[in-house]
Amino acid sequence: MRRLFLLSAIAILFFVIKPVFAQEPVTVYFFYGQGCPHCASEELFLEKFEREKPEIQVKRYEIWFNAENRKLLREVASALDINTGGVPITIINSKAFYGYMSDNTTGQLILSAVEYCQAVKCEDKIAPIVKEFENLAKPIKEIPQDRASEISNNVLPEKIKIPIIGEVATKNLSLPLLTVIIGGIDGFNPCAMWILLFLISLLIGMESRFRAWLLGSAFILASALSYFIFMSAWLNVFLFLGLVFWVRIIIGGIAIFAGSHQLRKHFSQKSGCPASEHEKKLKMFDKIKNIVQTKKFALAFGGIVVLAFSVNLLELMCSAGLPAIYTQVLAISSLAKWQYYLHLLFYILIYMLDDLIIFTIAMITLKSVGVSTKYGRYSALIGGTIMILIGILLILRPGWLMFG
Amino acid sequence: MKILKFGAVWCSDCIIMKPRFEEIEKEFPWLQTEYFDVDEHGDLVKKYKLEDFPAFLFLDKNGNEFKRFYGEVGKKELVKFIEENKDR
Repeated sequence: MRRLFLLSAIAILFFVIKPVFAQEPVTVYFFYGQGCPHCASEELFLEKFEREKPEIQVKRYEIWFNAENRKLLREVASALDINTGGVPITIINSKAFYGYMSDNTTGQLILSAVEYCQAVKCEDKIAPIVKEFENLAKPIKEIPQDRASEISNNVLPEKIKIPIIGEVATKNLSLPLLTVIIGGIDGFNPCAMWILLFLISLLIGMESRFRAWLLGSAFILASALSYFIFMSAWLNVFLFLGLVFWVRIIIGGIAIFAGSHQLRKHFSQKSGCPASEHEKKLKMFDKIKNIVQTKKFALAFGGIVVLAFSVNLLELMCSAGLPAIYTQVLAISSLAKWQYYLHLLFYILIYMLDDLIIFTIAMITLKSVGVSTKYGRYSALIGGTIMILIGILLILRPGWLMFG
Repeated sequence: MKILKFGAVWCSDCIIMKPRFEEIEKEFPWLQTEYFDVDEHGDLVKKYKLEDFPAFLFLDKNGNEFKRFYGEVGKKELVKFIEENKDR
């Protein structure tokens, strides 16, 4: 009898205590950008979540247009040592969730984190920071109707019409696809291509095939490395400034300007190499010739590596448009740090692919093959059009360019 | 018919056109061609008023120019033009 009573008491305690745990208040900090489609999806999830669990409090902070909220996010990020690259960022306890895929993925993760916090009564580490900022950064309880419609306008439609190609389901457009398109067009950029062609023309005449392969490969690898370093620097600048509304507008403006310049180049450039470039290019050719013909291999190898770095840095002005736009798109997408660099590596691989193919074919056939100014002109046409399109989207519909 | 070829070591299109023309010369052994490096023959560049390279100048039996091509030209296009004008 006594045992039965004890068991009943335990069972009652279990059923009574559980609801007490469930009602434990938890604060969800939701940092979002006005017009960001993933933020809009998460907003809908959080609204439903709040209705179902009244003990949950969601504090909303718009950070694209609200400088004070941005400041708050930086304070929170520095206190928790978290990344602040893109939006949405959802913080529960000291755990940050980046981006929003769907209710079944990110939504479930948020739900689990909240339930865990209710169960263990976790300490709200952000509360003291928020309290300090409370007078300055005003959390928005509800998204006003006019802004809600603005957000929904910015959400990527299910299908978009592309000239010639026709209707494309937007779910099929992804960051890797964008990487292939921009990286591929950037790869056909004639700025760095002519240096490779000079090098190949010297390497195919070399006696030692092994030396020729090594020097050519070193040039391509060093070019890839320098491009990676340069793009990582852009990315970090944008990740640092990426939350600022004006940075996006400025980059959008630069993209439109650079795109127009590329289009002008396509329509004004004649076929062939202009005689006006002869001094600059002859100087470069002599430099490459001296390096390649250096007898000591280590010196030639070092020279090629230095040349690759200097050429890629010197040609930055010529090819900066696409990498800058791409890194800006990466920065506004909500990704984990390793994913940013993985995408950069993928971009570099696509970018270098044509160089690798041209070099390999030339070394096997011992004939100079390459991308002539004719293809360069087409790359300027396609690249310029894409730059203008992305520039317009960055300014008017940034949500269309947000992934993750 | 004679073809004057103008090119430069620093010009990517010249590098691309070089093997293409070598193939054509093998196919048409009767074809007379002469190559000029534009950095060594500035006088000819001025004489023919060349602004872009490579440049291919087609001269008839009397040494009068009747056609010129600039930049990258397809092998098919060149072969067709040569065959059509071989008697000039």
